[in-house]
Order: sequence, then C-alpha cells, then structure tokens
Amino acid sequence: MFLKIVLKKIWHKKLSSLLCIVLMGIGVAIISLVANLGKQLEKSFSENISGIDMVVGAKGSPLQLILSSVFHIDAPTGNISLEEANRIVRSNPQVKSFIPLSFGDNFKGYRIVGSTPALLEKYQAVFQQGQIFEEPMQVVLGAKVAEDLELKLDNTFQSAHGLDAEGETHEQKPYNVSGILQPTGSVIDKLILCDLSSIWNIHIHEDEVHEEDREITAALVNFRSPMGLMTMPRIINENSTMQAALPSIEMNRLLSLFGSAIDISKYLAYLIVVISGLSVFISLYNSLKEEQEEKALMMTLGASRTTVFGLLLTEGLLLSALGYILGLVISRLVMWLINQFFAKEYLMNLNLWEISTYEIYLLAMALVIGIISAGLPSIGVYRINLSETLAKH
Amino acid sequence: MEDVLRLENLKFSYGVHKTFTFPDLILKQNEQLLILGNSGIGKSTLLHLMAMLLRPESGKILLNGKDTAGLTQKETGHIRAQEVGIVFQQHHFVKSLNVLENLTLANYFSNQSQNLKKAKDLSRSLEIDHLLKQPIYELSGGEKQRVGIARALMNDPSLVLADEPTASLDDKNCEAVYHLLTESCKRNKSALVIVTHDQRLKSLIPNQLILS
Repeated sequence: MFLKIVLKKIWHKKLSSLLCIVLMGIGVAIISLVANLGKQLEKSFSENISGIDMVVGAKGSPLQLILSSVFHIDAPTGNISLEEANRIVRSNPQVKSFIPLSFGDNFKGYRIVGSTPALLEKYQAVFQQGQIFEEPMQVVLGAKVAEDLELKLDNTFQSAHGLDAEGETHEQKPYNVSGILQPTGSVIDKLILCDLSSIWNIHIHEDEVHEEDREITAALVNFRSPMGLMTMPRIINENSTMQAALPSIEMNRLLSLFGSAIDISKYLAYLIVVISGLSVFISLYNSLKEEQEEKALMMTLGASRTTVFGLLLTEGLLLSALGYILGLVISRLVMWLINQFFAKEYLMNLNLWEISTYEIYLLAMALVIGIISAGLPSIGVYRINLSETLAKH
Repeated sequence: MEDVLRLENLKFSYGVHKTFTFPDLILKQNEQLLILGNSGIGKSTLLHLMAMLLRPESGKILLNGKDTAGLTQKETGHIRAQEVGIVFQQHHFVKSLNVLENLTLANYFSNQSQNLKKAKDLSRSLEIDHLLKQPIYELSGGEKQRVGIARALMNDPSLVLADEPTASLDDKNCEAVYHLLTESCKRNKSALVIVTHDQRLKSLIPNQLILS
C-alpha cells in the first residue's frame, strides 16, 4: 500500500513528475555519455598507438600524420621517399621495427593500405578465413570491412582513387581477397590490407619505376630503447625532407583538447542534475503546501509523521531513480546510434551493457539529490498542526 | 453500558485571548449527542479535543475508560485510528487514490489488514458500491459525503464524530445524511457526536448539548 500511494501520487501529478524525471534523465544521460565516450576514446587511442613510438611521413601537421597513418581518419600529409626512409630511419640501429604504409585508394570508403606482414603482427591479427597476401593484388580484409561489404574469399573488386568512395576506379587491376581477419577492436578492422607492391603496381607499371623512386605514405617505427625516441625525431625533422611525429605526444595534446570539451559537458550535465533536484524540491514543496490537508488526513487516520515523511522521501527517491534509469536508457540509445553510424569511420565500439563505476557513483549522486530535495521540504510534515489544517482546508 | 466518552473539567485556550471551558459529559455505546451553538463558540474545538487532534489545557478526556492525557503522539494517533471515526465538514481525501483505496487507507494506517469486505458492505449500505473504482475527484459533493461516512466506520470505531455534516445541504439531503449517519452508527454500535449549528437537526436528536 505504501508504494501504491507513492506511485499513484506520482501518476496523479504526471506533468511535474515527468519534468523531474526528464531533467534528471537528461543530466544523467549527458554525464554517462561523456564518461563512456571519453573512456572509449582513451582506450581506442592507447590500444592503437601501443607499439608505435614514432611515425615518419611527409612534412606537415604532426597530428594529421598520426590521425591519417595510425587511426586512418584524416588525409595523409603527402608521400615520402622509401629510399630516404630506409636510409635515415630503417637502417638506424636504434630502430627495432619499421612498418611502411602506402595508401591513397579505397573500396566503397574503406581504405586500402599497402604494407608488410609486420603490420598484421603489430595488431596481433588472427585469420578468420584464408591467408596473408602473398602475391601482388591480393588483399586481406579487416573484420568490419568483410562484414559490411559482404566480401568473401576469392571475391574480386576494383579500387577507387583517393579516400572517398566516389573516386575514379582502377578498372584494369582488380584486387582478390586472400584472407579475412577476425575482429581485433583496433583500426585494422576497417582496413583493406595488401602488399606495398600492389599499391605501386596499381599506379605505375612495375617496369616504369626505379627502386630508388618508390614512395610510401608513412612508416610506423618502434625503437629498441627510449634513447631512439629522444634522438631520432630531431635528426629526422632537421636533416631530412620527412617529419617525425610522436603518437604519445600528439594524442596527449588531442586528449587535452577533448578533455576541456568533456569537462565543460560534464559541468553542464551536473548543473542539469542539480536543476532536476531543484525541480523535485519545488514539486514536493508545492505538493506539501497544496496537499497539507492530505498529509493531515493521513495522520488523522493513524499514519505517523515519520510514515508521511517516508512517503514524500520515497516519492523524491523514486523520481530520482526513474530519472537515473531514463538517463541510462537515453545514454545507451545514443551509444547504440554512435555504434551504428560512426563505427565505420571512427571504429567506435561502445559497450552498451557495461555499467561503469562512474555510473554507479552517478546513481548514488542521483539518490542523494533525491533524498536532499525531497527531505528538505518534507521536514514540514513534522510541523503540521492537524486541527488547524483540517479546519482551514 | 460502558462509557465510550467521558469529559471532565475540560478547558482549552487559543493563546491568552480565547479560552473555552466545556461542560462535563458522558456518552455511552449507541448513544447520540448533538452539540449546537453559534459560530466561534468552540464546537469544532470540542470536537477536535474529542478526536485528540488538540490537547486540553486542563481536564480529562477518557475514551473507553482510558485517560488520553498522558499518551504520546504516536499512541494518540494509534488510538484515534482504532477507536474514533471522523466525518469532516470539508471533504478531505487523498485525491490520487480511488474510492476503495481511500476507504482501506484507514485500515492501512491503523496497522490493520485491508478489510475489503467491510469496505464493500459499507459502500453497499451507503449506496456507493458502484463508485468504488472511481477516482475520488470525479465524485459529486453528496457522493463524497457518503464516502466520508463509510471511511469513518471502516475500523469499527466506538466513537464517530461528525463536524457540520449537513451544512450547505437542502432539507431532503440533510435528513438523508442524518439517517445515513445514525443508521450506520447503530449497525456498528458506535456512539455518535454531531457538531453543528444546523437547527434542522434539533428535532431529530433529542440528546443535545448547547454551547453558549
């Protein structure tokens, strides 16, 4: 009966109850979304840059170089000479691994990246079907590419020039699918991988170009010791036509930029949650004022003041809890939409079913706000004069 | 017969300016008492004292032989819920609940199990059984009056207090409400106190206390 009274009361005041729930829901949804997106962003960044100490590419924006070569979400800064990269970087004894990348074509929006088998090893890729590219024009598909484009082993396709799906098609030289990878959760899932020679082959005839004229777009470098990290970037930037960018530094810079936006969004969301608490407070304060006779009646019928106080407190707590649940539902809905529409471009894979520690704290915060905003006006119950109230109304 | 209500040397003050002194009275099971008097003479104050909604400045209120003076707020509330049924002048209800829920609220708050049979029997005898699922705010004034009487009798109280139950009613309805109250109390073996300034009830209840 206790809960029935509270639920019926909430239903009776549909509009003001809905306002409280929606305000709380919006606040919780924004905080939850910002926290989950921030977490996913950091996770995605750290996973994808792990094992890459430095990226070498054409001179230009270092952030653009990292975004295009590591995350494949921006246009490359240009090409560099493979001979120069080999001479200055690969041959340096401090370099442990050197993974060349060559890209500039796509198939239906998915980038085709020429590299070496070392790239697959770096992302610990495991084959779902087939095998690695062994001949020119053979490709290995990332899991997402295979799923989205419904490509199977031995299927052939023609790539398009540029990074947009609308580019000019290379009709003479189709690619053949030699393998499909299992999902890794990394950027490799959305790439079409082939040997470097395939990229060169598609743009220039093999016999038309000399070995020393070959170009790559970038190279991912891993050092044997931190010493390489301290000396190599300066050597490259000062003494070559290439630029060296450090993923850790660029990502920190990017995250700090995101961080400010995330912080502002969080503060805004906290403000909304507080406003929702205020609306619960106003709603219950008005309810207590307007329905003092109801409370007095309940007490006349035998309810203790604590019981009536409990009814009001439960009402506030329920409104907050419902707001919290609505917030989580909204945040999961938006996360699902992000997964649906931005997964391909940004490889976002937000876990809809995971309740983070942050969200548990958020529940505690919502309930505390509910208790405070319901508790304060409800104290008035202890001051109700039964005789006066029942005679007056 | 046992005394249901006994008042002795009862006095109540609203601040220093307004003091009421009430005559002693004894009310037994099944008895009816009409308290009459002009406005402001203390009729409602006396009723609220009987209902233990107010505490007397001095004097005694004995309910079923028990002195109510030393009781805590919680004990007072418990005894009121069990022993006293109040029919209010204004229609006080929990608006979000329907008629049946408003009736059983009296059971719930007095820690008794929900007596649906009692609610249905009472509503049948008061001809409001077709309204049980109806939201309270959809009822007419007369229907609310009947629901108020039914609620006052839900816990089989030994004392029923009615505050101006016939005010603003026409003669026909005045008589109908009087009959409903007295018949219901008779069936329940409850003592009935009606506080009113309605002179029409004078001829209906011979046991009268006129405050002056």
